[in-house]
Amino acid sequence: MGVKAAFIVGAMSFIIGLVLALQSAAQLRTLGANIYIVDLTVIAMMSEMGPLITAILVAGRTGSSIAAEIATMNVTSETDALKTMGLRPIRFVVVPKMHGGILTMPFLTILADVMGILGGLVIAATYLDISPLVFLNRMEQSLLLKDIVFGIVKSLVFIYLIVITGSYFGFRAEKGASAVGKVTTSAVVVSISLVILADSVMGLLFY
Amino acid sequence: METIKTRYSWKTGDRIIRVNGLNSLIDGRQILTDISMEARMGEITAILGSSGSGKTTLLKHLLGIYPSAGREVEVLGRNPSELEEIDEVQFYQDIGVLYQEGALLNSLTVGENIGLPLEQHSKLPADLIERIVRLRLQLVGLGDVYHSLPSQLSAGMLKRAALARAIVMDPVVLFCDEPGAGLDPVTLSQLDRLILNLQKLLGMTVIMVTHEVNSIRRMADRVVFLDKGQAIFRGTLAEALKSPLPSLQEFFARGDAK
Repeated sequence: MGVKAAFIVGAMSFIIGLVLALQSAAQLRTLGANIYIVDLTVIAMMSEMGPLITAILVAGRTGSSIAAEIATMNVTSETDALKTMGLRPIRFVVVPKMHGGILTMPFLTILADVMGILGGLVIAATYLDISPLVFLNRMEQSLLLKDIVFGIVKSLVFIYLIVITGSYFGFRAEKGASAVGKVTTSAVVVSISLVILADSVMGLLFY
Repeated sequence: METIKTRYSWKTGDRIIRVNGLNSLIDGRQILTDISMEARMGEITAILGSSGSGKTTLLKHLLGIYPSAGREVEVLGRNPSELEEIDEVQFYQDIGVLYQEGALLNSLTVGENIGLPLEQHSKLPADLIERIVRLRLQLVGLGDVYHSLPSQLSAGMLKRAALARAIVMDPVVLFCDEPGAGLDPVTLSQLDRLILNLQKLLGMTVIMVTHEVNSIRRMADRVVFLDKGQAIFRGTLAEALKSPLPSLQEFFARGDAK
C-alpha cells in the first residue's frame, strides 16, 4: 500500500523543496545569510513539509481507494459475507491496510524529505552559489535526530488517521453505486482536514 | 447452566430457527412488526413477499447482521447477534449464506474465495483445502474456474461459485437471499435443482428468501409470507396455495402470470 505513490510523492516534494528554497533565496540574499537556505530547507522538509505533503498525497490517493474499496464491499454485501463466514470485517479488511500503511508511510516520508532537500540543493547551487558539498556539510550541522524522528512519528499518526477515516466512511456507505462516490469524497476531505489539524496540534505540542 | 447444542444434536423435524415477536426499527422506520416464525431441521422454508415487505431485513436478523434482543431470534439455539467472539466463529461455521449478488470477494480468485472459511477456521494444509474446494466446485457443476476472478464469471456461474462457498463448511443451515435475482428462467431452474440436490445430499436445512413463485413451488416445504413487515401467513406450501388470503393469492397469481 502506498508504494505506487512513490513517484508522485517524490516529484511533488522535489518541486515543493525547489519553490520553498526559491522563495527564501531572494530574502536571504538581501540579508547576506545565503547559507541559512540549508537550515531552512532541511528543517522545514524534515519536520513539516515532507510528512505533510506525503500525508496529503496519500490521503488523496490511498485514502480514497480504501474508502471506495470498502464502500463497494459494503454495497455488494461482501462485508456481510465476511461476517457470516465468522470473520471480522475490520480485522480482515482494515488491519492489513493499517499494517501496509505503517510499513510504507515512513519510507515515503523519507523519500519526500530527500527529494525536497534535493530541490533546495538545486536552488542553493544555481541561485546562491552554494556548492552541493557546502550544502551537505551545513546540512550535517543543522539537522538534528529529533527532527527526523519527529517527522517519522508524524507520518505514522497521519497514516493512522487516513486509514481509519477511509475505513470509517467506507463502512458507512449505504446501498447504491452513488454511495461509493459520496463516501470517497467525504473520506478524502475529512482525512486531509484531520491530517492538517493533527499536524498543527503536534507542531504546538513539540515546538 | 444452559448447554448449547452442537450441529450433531439436531434431529430432523427439530425447530432450529425460532423468531418470537420480532420488531425491527431501522433509521427510525418500522420495517418488521411482531414477526413470529419457525423453521424445522431438514426442511426448506421460503420467506416470501413482494419488494419492500421486509424479507431481507428478517434474513439479516436471522444472520445476526441486524441486532435482536434475548429470545426474539434463535438460530441453532442461539441469538446470532448476541454471541461472544468464540461462539460467533462456531455459529457461522454451522451456517452458510448464498447472497443475492454472490458477494464473492473481488480481490480473491474463485478458489481462494471458496477456501477462505476453511483457511481461516481450520488447520488443514493448503493442498487439502484446494482439493476440498475443487470438490465443491464439481458439486455445483463448475469446471475449471479455480483460478478465475469473480468478475470473469457469468451471473449463473457466480451464483454457483457463491453456493460452493456457502456449503464449504458443511453447514447445518443454508440461507439463500433471492437466489434467482438476475438469472434467466432456465438458469434459475438449474440453480433450484442444484440447491435441492445439495440439500438432500448434505442434509441441510434451507431458508430461502425469494419472490420467485416457480422456485417456491419447486422447492419449499414451508412458507412464511410477509406483507408490509408482518408475517400474515405461516404454513406448508400446500396450505399456502389453498389459502384464502387475498394478498397471498395475488402473490401466487402474479408469479404464475410472469
